[in-house]
Amino acid sequence: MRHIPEDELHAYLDQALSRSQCVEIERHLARCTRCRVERDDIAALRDRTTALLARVGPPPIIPPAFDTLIARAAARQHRYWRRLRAGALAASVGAVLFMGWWMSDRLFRVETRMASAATPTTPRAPVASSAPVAAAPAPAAIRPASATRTPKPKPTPRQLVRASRPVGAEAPAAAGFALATETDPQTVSQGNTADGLAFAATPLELNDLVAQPVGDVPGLNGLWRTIVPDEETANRRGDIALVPGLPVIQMRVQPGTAGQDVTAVDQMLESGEVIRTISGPAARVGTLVDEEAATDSASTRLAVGSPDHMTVTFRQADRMVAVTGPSQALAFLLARVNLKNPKRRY
Amino acid sequence: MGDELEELYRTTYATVVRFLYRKVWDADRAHDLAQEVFIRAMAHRPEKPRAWIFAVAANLARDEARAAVRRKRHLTLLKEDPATMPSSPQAADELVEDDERRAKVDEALATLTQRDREVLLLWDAGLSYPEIAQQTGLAVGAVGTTLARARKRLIDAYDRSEQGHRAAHS
Repeated sequence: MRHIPEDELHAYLDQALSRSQCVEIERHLARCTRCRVERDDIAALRDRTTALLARVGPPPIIPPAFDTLIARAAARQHRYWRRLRAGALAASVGAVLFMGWWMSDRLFRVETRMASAATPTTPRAPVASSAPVAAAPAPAAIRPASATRTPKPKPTPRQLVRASRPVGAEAPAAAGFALATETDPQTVSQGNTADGLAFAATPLELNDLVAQPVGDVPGLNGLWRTIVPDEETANRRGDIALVPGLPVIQMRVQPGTAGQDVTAVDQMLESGEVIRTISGPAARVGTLVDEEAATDSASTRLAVGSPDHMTVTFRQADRMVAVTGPSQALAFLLARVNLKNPKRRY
Repeated sequence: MGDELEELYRTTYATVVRFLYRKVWDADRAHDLAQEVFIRAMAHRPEKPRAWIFAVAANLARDEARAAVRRKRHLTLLKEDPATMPSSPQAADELVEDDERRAKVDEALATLTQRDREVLLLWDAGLSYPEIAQQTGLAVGAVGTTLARARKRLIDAYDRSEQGHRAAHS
């Protein structure tokens, strides 16, 4: 006769067996003295263990109210985003430096597109004249003529213009960018109230801003999935291009194959205007940017409250990042880029 | 915030504290860690919250163990602090007895392998065999075997130390 194994008796006493197993064991116990003794021993052992562990239990446990836990969780979430933004600020230095190097490196193509001219209140001699570049045609494959915004000619001492340079072409400096880099931040940040620009007196600061819900931000064409910025997306933050240090209003993604997602992040500038960063495969981003530029209706225009907006695209191999926002804010952002890293400009 | 989690909090909090207490041997710390577990659960919204909670609690206790050496040094210093001495001789006796008893059980638990100890404490915390299996990676069938061995070893080790204690005193 097969006796009941020890572990089965433990499981039996722990009520971890199925009903049919229990029936079988009980039937055996009824006619096997040896197993009954064994069962009693194990029961005693089991009780002693429980008693021993119970003796060293903690003092009586009174759980704190669940609400206090909720409050703590909420406070932590708040701190988490603060830290995240602080981290983003730290990361921004690196990102900005990298951008500066990247944009000035001749291997990469820098394309600056202006919606209209920015008119600084303090006229200064332009360091890089952009007049010849303005005439240069863009490569049709990348930037169809239909998508090009016509720069408004203005009799201003300095004009921000669209600059385009084919990859590999010998050019000492990306003209469009050079203009931005040479711009005095003070000049840019003052804005031009005469043109009705709502750019804040304080320039784009990469600081800890509290996100304010703004009105409906115009959507992009195509199907987008909104990502809730939570811990999970925060962990993927490296994949999502955005302007570090600015509060995120909306994060969207258009899924693609093999991690080739297109992401669009809307962030709020201190002035309340929106800056949008689109990143992903160059072809898809290029199409999106063109669509956006071509759609001239107010409803799809990105720059809320200002007709002056500009798109800057960075391209590396098959990836492209496009930043669209109020031109002066972008100009200032770009100014910061090289001001932070003057040595490695070219 | 899910009602499910709140319900789980009500029913499981004490168990989680007990589970943690036998790992960190500090009631306040056990409470802190237990609350930490539930706060994390609120953020993560795990699919199987009960199993998740014990898994995270076990991890936290493990992290805690890494800092144990440092804290032990701290406790030694505290013991020499007269402010922490009990008010009456009777209370002092109880405290010493409690400490001795705890030390003996702790010692006995320490003789178990990590897996045996984990399974025993999880069982004692009220987890079912399948739950223990899921958390430890054991087969459900192996939980009974492990528990059988763990219980026997714990009692053996405890009895040995009791005998040693008695022998030393006689």
